[in-house]
Amino acid sequence: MGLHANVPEANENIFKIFVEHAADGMLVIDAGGFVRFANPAATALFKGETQQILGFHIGVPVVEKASELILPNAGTIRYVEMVATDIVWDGQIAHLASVRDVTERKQAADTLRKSEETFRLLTENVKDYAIMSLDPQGYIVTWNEGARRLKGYDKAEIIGHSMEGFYSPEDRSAGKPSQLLALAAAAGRCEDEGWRVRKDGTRFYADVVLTAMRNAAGKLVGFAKITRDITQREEAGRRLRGQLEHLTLLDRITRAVGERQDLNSIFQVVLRSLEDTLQITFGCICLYDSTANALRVSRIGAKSDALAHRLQIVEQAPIDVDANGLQRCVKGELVYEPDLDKVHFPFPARLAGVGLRSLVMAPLRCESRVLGILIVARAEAHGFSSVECEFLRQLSEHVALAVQHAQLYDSLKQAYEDLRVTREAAMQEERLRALGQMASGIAHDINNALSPVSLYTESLLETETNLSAHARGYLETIQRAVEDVAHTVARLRDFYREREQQIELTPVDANLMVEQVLALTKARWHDQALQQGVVIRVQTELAPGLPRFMGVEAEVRESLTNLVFNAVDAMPEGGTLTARTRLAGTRTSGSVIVEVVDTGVGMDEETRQKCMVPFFTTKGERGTGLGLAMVFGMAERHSASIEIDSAPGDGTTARLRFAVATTALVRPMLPPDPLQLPSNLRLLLVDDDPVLLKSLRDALEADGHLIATADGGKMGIAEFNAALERGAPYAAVITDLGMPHVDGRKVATAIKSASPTTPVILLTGWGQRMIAEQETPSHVDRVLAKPPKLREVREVLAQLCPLQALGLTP
Amino acid sequence: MIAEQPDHKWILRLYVAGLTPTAERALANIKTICTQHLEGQYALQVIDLLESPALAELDQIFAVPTLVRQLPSPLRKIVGDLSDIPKVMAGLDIKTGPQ
Repeated sequence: MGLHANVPEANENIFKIFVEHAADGMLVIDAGGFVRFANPAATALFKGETQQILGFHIGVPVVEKASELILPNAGTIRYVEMVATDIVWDGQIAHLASVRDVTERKQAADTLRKSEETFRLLTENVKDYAIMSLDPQGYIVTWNEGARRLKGYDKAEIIGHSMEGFYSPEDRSAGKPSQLLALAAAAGRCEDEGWRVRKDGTRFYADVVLTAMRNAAGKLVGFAKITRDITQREEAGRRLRGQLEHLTLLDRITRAVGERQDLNSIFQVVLRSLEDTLQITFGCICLYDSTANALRVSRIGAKSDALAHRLQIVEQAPIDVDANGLQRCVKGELVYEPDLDKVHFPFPARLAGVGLRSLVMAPLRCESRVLGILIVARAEAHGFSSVECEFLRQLSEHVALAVQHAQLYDSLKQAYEDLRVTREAAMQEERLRALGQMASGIAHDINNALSPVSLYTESLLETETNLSAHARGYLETIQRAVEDVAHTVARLRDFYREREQQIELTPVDANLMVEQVLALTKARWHDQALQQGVVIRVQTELAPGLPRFMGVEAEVRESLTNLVFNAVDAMPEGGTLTARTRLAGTRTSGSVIVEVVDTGVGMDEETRQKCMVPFFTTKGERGTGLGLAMVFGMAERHSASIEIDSAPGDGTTARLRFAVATTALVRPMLPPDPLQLPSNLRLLLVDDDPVLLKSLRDALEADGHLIATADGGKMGIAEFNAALERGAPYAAVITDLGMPHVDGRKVATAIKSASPTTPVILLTGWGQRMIAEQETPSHVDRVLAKPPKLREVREVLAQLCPLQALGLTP
Repeated sequence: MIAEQPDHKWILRLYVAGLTPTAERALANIKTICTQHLEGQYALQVIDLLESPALAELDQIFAVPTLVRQLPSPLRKIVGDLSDIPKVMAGLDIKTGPQ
């Protein structure tokens, strides 16, 4: 725009208005550089509003379009943009300069530039964060000091490269870098944590924030990426997590251990947990005996078994406490050998021999006592971290506590067991004592009751010469049965006392015994069994012509009877009972074997071992537990052996083995002495049992004696004294021991005080015991057992009363 | 700064206020002109008003950059970035072609 002289008048006015009110300053400068015209805006710009600048020598304007100038004198420095055009002014060449105040714009731009600069300096110099900007494709545009420090690349070598290079090959092939960019582009921002790679290939754990940068139009212009190294934090976190895991494991193990009482399963739990959770290659626990300084393998981890086998470490095997690690460990120190290849002591070398490289030995230490050692090993050298060692140390303390508890528990259990056994033994003793009392009472009564049977039978067999063979046979059976009963009664007491007497041994025919026993027990195995619908087949396999062995027939019979009963009881569903005899070895030095075999339920090993213990029974209420014990006692007394073969479901074989009798042992039977038997003796019999009195009197009267009887001790003494006074004294007195009020001892005392030379014979149901213990009471000349045998009575009378027998006749 | 020498026919002063882009352009342009047309006969002084603010008032400088022809007389002024060299030469009254 120019002001020209030839502009029409009206237009000139309009232009004037424009110029007067224009916001831009307008100056007309003549060729000499002097201001010839200035509008108000220009005046204000140069000198404030009040002053005139016309005539100022400002200079000829020579500017490229919109040059920026500074007005130094306008109060404060102002920046203006000047545009100049040549014009004609008052007919001369002049310059029209238009000036616009740009101070504020420039200041704003300056501020922006400065803040940008500050920001640039800031980011460039930040050292702890890697800050970079990326273009939309992820290529690096800017790079700060922190990035150089963190990633190792200089600015010059990295700008223009893709940020993909910071990622691990795995992340790159998984497309992670471009995924993150896409995510940031879509959401404006994304965060990530993970492992990144430095220039030198090492890795660090990074925390990354990626922010999309968009221009005013919303177009994506790139990304700002801030990366922080949080490796330490991550490792601290990992360590914390590790410690937490160990704590949890410790808690789990101690809980599991607490639920158990026996060492074996405690150790098993510990080792299994270590194998499963810590993935140890080998683990075992040894117990330590401090007095012997000896280690013994107690338990080996299940997964360590194969290695242990190669190591020749087996449970219960001893391990030498070598001077190095093990010795230190049993002194209470945790020993860690990080590289077994460098240790040359026997035990570590042994482990190294099967490929183990690192070893921890932790003492199981309770208070100051080392109870054992926990041994764990790994195939890698330096296989245990300090955290793991600490964990193993803590674990071993807990295990030690558990070991101590288990051992206390064991000794407590043992104490209880001892107490139980003692109590049981005491009870057994009490039972035996009670049984003994009862047995002796019963024995007394039975012996008394048997006396007439015995006396009459013996008397009949002796005196009735015209007995039929039939009757004689019956009487002989009765006599044998009475003898057996007497023996049985005598042995009742075997259970509570030593053997009372040495019963005379006679040659025994095993086959005869078997036949007699099968006949005696037929009621049991045939009749009773049939009543219950059970069929028991009985067969004998008897070796003919067996030599005899020395024994007590009654005992052998009874033993075989017990074996037969046991065999029958073992076959509740029926079966076959076999009684077998045979000779083992020679006829002179071999043995006679008697077997009772059943096809019954059999016994397990435990039962088999206990079956001869008194009162052990599998028959419940029905059994006394004494049968086999009696057999065992018989075998002992006969120097015989007893063997039991059995298996559950397989039947049982009971085998008695008697040594064949040598001729020297066989005593010839003494023929009865027919001579020197006294007769016509006046005898006084004292007893409270009228049946016995009568039977003895009958027997002795048959021998030709004169018999008086007294019912009880008191009457006996009275009668004896009365006879003395009558002048017809008795040649001897036979008195019972056990009588009410005045017993046999008192009778004897009274008689001896009245007539010291009169023999007193004591008859007693306890007789054998007294004889055995040489307990002949004072004032008693002889003790005879009930049931009395006529022969014995005669012998005693012959010994005690020879004179009367020969000379004195009443 | 070049010292004033009495035998110089041309003495030019360039007033600036800091080396702004416009000032730099102006300095470059006047140097070009001087070396091409006034070689050996001139002295060019650059006066920074930021360093000597009083000179603005004294020398009657209203806008910078301003080039002042001290010698030869009469005093002449040119304001701007001096980008139009023929115009500057005309303003300074320098004849074209080597002297």
